[in-house]
Amino acid sequence: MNSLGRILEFGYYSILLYSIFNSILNKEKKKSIEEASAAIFSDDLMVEIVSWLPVKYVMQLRCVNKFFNTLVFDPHFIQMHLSKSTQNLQLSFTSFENNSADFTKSEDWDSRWITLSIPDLLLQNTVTISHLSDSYYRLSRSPHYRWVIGSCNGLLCVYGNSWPDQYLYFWNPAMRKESKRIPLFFDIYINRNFDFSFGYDNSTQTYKVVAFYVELNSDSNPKSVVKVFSLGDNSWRDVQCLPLVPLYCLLGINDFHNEGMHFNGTINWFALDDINLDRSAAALDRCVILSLDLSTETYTKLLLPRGLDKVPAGYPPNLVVLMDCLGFCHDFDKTHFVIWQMKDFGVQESWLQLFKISYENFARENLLPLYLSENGDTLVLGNDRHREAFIYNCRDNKVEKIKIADRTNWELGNYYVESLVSTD
Amino acid sequence: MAEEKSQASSSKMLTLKASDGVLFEVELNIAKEMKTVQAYIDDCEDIETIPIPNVLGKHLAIVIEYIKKTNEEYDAEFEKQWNMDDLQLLLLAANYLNISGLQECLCKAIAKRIENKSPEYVRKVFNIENDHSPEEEAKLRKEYKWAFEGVDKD
Repeated sequence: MNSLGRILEFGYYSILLYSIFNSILNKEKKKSIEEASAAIFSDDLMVEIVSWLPVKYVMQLRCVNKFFNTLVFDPHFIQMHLSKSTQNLQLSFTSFENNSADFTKSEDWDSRWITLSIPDLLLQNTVTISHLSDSYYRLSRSPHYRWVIGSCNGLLCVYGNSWPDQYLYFWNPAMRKESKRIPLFFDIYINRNFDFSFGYDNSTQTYKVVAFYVELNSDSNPKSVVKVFSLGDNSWRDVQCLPLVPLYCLLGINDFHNEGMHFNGTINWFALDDINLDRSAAALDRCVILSLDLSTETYTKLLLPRGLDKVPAGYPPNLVVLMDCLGFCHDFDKTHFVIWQMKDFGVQESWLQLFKISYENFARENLLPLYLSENGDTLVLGNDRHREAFIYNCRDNKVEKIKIADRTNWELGNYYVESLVSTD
Repeated sequence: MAEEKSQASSSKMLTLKASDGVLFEVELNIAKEMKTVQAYIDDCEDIETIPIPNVLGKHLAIVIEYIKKTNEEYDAEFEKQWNMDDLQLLLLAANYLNISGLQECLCKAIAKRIENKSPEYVRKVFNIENDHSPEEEAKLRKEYKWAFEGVDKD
């Protein structure tokens, strides 16, 4: 028999074997599907199973039948799904890429919303960044600028600016749903640089955006304007203005990451405790945390820990949320990095110094803590100026550097979890 | 005498009788993890054999094993041994016996197995009818095209 004959014979037998094998496999699969249909689940059990699915697959289920189609709107299911989704915590970032040959041409930057999975980061020490190449997640593309103000229960609040229009909108990226645009109350021609924070009021179950602006005058007292927009409303409301001057106003906003930090139904700022205090004397031990309660829309002063090292506010402290508690980090003597945690919100005695870590471990300053594991052992830190992130193991005092996306610059954001929360 | 008595109560055994008549002798503290059994014991203190009418011996054995060995590592590997058929029956057992840890483990496992499968596959798994009209279904598929990209073939 010639070689061609042999090849054909071999081919024939391969195909025969393959198709026999395949049909056995299919029969097994078919058998298992048919047998599986013998188990009858109650609606409650089916719903519980489905509440573990990522949003994309829950959306696929809408085609299964009418029950699953409307399930995604059921408030109880949305809540159930959210509580499970929080086990898969992610960090959200904005990544920037320059499209032109000339890096100084700022008009040619485009930005995208990306996320990083914390469980993956901790388990595998690898960085899985989602949405880096998916154009749906693009934010800015000159001349349209957008940036994410905040993230809450899977809902993002985005500020947009396409000169001369400016607006806000709410976005659930997992469901690919966006709300209609909300016009802003201030004219872009009048130089009013408002800042925004996004949070959730537990008592009324409403998502709220807080817009704030502080004007410092050398002669008279500082003036501030604070307004609130609730998701579902059609207008902005004035609320009580800031009773103290936030630290970021005095030191220049670029150095702060988390001015107007949302935590558990409150918006928080570092502020100088005395309205008459000389700005050059702004030191950490003269500060308090000014907290706006989103349900009462009133302010409280939260005292910082006693005996705080006399830290000049030159390296600005940053508010952080770690292990479901509000805290802050600051530089000490340019040699160490300190993190404090307020175990009981509003209770001065509950402040705990979690870490005092030497910069030697990192060869880098300007670090921001991003996440602390539940057992307190693993700390994730970032430095967006240098596109670096670090995993610090507290037990062995070891640091591991992680590289996040090769050519992308990124700006730190917040925590994010997928959810089915509506944008209306 | 007192010592003997306490020794006896700490290793008190209970018999569970599966739907197919298979008997299992388990320690009291294991049986108590099944809240349904706990309720039975609370009602009738002196009971020695408890009937479990909804669960086959084969599955009851697996459930008891789970309760004895459960920990993070065990749970992670547990579901891999069973086919969809068994997983579903185990879930019904865990639900009837009211064992929250096992129920959660199984719900997560079944969710993982239906992830990214076609609606038809999901209907077969849950034994449900498609009450969408063809137009409705087509409309949904079009509207959520992005969600269907890369669906696994059945």
